[in-house]
Amino acid sequence: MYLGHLALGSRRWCPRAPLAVLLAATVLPDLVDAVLGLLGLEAWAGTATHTLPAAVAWSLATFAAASLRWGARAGRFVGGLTLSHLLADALTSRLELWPEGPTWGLGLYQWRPADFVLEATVIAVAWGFYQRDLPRKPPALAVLVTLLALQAFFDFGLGLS
Amino acid sequence: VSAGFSALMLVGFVVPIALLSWLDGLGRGPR
Repeated sequence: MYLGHLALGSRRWCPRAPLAVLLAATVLPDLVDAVLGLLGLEAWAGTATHTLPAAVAWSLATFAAASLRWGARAGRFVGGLTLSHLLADALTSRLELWPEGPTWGLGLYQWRPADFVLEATVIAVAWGFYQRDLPRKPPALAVLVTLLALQAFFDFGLGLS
Repeated sequence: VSAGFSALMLVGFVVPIALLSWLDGLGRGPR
């Protein structure tokens, strides 16, 4: 999933942590991959972020950090969101279960229209939960439009296979 | 993965997160 749609949906049950933290926790494995690439450590990308042991480790790290800052309930949500990245990626990609291990996942990115339909549905459902708590509806609607536009750009605008 | 692609990837996450957070703040109104 591109941008932590699950974070948006979980916002109403985890109000203490800022939305930016929920979003960043959800895409943390990709953020770490980008930083590894910038540091010239691209050989570690994927293995250190998108295998099951790595995902559990990052999830425990975000759980601990968020628990310390916003309490145990927020910690469980934030840690769970980090772990959810791997499960969501298993729908869209093919991943190594552990380093040098078997690959798993549906690999929906091979069928971009199908990926868009799935992700747009997740966005719509997550947004449905999210917007209930927002007193001002125009910004909430802008969130939905922004996410759908980004998803369309990601699926069809980048020329990715 | 090149450093340039990594930088784009980082921007592609950080900018939308900042935008969505800003919209979230607008939606919640003054505290």
